[in-house]
Amino acid sequence: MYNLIMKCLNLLFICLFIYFKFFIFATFASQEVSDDDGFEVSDEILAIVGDIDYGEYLSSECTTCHHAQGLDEGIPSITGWPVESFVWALHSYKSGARKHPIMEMITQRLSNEEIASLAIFFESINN
Amino acid sequence: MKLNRRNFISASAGIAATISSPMVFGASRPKVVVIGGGAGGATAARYIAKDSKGAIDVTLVEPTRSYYTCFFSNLYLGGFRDFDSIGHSYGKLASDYGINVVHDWAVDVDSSGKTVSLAGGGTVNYDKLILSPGIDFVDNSVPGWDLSSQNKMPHSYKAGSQTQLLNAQIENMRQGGTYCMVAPPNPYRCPPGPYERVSMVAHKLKKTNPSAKILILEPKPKFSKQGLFEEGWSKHYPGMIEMIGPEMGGKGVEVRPASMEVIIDGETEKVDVCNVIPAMKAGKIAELAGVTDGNWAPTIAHTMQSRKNSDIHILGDAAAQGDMPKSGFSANSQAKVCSMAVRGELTDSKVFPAKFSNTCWSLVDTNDGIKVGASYEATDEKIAKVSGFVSKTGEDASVRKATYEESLGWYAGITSDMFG
Repeated sequence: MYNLIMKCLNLLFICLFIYFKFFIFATFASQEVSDDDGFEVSDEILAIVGDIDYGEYLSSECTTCHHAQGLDEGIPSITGWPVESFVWALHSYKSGARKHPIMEMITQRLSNEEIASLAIFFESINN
Repeated sequence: MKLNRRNFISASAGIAATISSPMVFGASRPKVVVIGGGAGGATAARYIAKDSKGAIDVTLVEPTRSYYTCFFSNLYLGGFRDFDSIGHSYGKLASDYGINVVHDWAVDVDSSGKTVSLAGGGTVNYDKLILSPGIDFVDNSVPGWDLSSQNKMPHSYKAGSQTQLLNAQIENMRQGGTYCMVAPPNPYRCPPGPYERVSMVAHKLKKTNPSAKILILEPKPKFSKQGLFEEGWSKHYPGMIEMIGPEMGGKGVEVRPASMEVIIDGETEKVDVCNVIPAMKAGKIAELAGVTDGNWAPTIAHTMQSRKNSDIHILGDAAAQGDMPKSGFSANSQAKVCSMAVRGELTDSKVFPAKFSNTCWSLVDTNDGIKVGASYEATDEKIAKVSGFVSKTGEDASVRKATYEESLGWYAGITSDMFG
């Protein structure tokens, strides 16, 4: 009888755990701030079409560190990425979901339009 | 200021109408002359040539054929880089970007006639002049030291033969000898530079000369990343490094190069290697061009134009611009704002709001990298800091290793951004 009660309690705890985990995840997802894996960018942001000339100007801030020809030793290559991946990555830093002191600092002062412009410019660079 | 696509500033008819230079392509293309081929000048020359697509005639005046970067020269002293790896040529700027690279010294600027005189006897004309001359040293800032003593007591604060000389002196120092650094007063090139150098010298001596001592004569009450450096020194090099601060005689040091002595608060001490880093000022040509006020050349943040002459722009260490540290990264960042402004004036291209950023990485020991950085914006008064970050003491070794590896990526990135 004791064993049966313990098994029921265990089951209850597992159910509660799964419920809360879902609840927590759902809460974070709705704020669009969670860990890196769960991070989502809204359709409105993804729909913005960037200005490639503006992106080219803004890109000069990136190429001090990110190699313009796509070398990726120590610092990742950012050339030739699909626009959506680029937008997602920059917004994940901007929101703080993804951590890196330099990338958080740089993206926090980029507007959604500026991120879209950078994305369309860097997508066009194929090495 | 919030930036978006809708508030671009377009440098249109108003500005274009005020310039006196011919606007026709071909034989009478507008002329830009850049003096100094470092992080500011090489970047500016390359961006103007690249983005104007031949519409602007760019001349770069730089005396050295191989440029050795000050950044990472400490890593050469520590044995982490070979000397050739910090050297770069201007070949691609000439062949791929059509820049007229002139290896000569600019010895004078006639700002009314808009010409630059070269040591070799020639002159070049400009519509816009960009000065990125780096630093020179203030006379008598360390009594007993002048440029004629730089072989005996090297500064090694302009990379090249001075760096190799200091390296040889450290490698040939007697066992148990003393390497002394006379640290510079503010403001100076590369705020963490002297202390990264101390770290790299300690790294080398720990292997080759473990009983050697390092003595820092420090005129400043505090310095960049001090807590991080001091944490690293006590962890990696316990007992090797001694610092004498300004209250204890670290300020107002005299040197006697002939006898290899330093005089600290009236006491004479004999040392084996003496690395004197004097007080600094803008490279001499800035003064000759009439754009300095005191030791530095004041600039307008939005364009990097001189406050004294709107046809002259000043970049990097020589500029008095506000909150940015004097670093290669800063000069590179300022060069992009300047290039955009110059193209806007000469060819009516779009001008976007200025923004700047900087990061300085330093290596303390193998795989122990630290960094400090900030973002900046242009105000009417100055380049003003927006936000920043700095590595933390007690960070995990994996974070420090990643920071070091990041600095290697940055070096590859910025040198490609400068030299193509």
